[in-house]
Amino acid sequence: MDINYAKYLPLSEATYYVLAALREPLHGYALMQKVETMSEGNVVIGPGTLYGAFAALEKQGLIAKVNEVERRKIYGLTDLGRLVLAEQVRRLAIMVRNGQFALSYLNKGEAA
Amino acid sequence: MSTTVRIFKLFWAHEDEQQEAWLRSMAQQGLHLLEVNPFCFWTFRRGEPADIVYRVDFPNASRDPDFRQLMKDAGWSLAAATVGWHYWRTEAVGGKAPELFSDAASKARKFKERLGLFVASSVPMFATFVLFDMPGRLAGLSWPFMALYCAALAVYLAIMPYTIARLALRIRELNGSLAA
Repeated sequence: MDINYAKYLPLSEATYYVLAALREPLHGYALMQKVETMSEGNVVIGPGTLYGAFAALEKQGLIAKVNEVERRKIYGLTDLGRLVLAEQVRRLAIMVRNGQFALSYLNKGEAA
Repeated sequence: MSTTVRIFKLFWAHEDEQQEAWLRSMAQQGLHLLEVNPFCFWTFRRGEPADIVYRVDFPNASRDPDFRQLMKDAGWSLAAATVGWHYWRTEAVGGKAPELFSDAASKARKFKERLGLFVASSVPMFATFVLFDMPGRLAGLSWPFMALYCAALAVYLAIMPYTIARLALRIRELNGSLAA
């Protein structure tokens, strides 16, 4: 698949966690709770934000409705969503390496 | 002591945080929002003081049963609704105030929709003014009607541009605070 990643990346922190949490299909509220736990409390997604994110991601084809249980739509990642998440993770890994390198260099300077 | 209290209070469209803070402080005094009407009269029910967090939203999404289900699951209930405005409430947990919109981008998007609506609504107003030759028709009106019409127009011309400008500033402020 030839994907123009520039169309999707970089993901906002909230969107990134929505995609990462959808490694298993979830409904909205379950996802809100999961993101808060996964991110160790750093990211709390409000229902208004999540509703907008779901709508945007569904329109872009990154997530899709897979089921409906007790009037709650359950969403899962599409193949495209998985690839976009993978590309974002690849870039983030480089960013983290660079950040850690910069910090260790700066800390060394401090110690000297 | 009557069980309800009615208060007149005006807010501009960009003053979401001011409305939310005011409603929360009322709840802390035991006055819980019951109703609000388009003329800015707020009705409160007298009760026990509680730390209730209010959030203002526009009703666009509320028509969607998915959104209502999500809000209910997340512990929010619709406290009051008036033309163009919805007031959601939830209990503050440990002093923390939950948000409907947790990042600046989605909050700004909410205001952008509202700004678009205001701009769109002022277009027909000006179009009819020009198309129906309002100045010409006005000249044919008797004095009291003309004075009344001009007063209404003056109020509209003062309020609408200010509302639109302040909303645009609020959006810029939110976009400016974006970390991304």
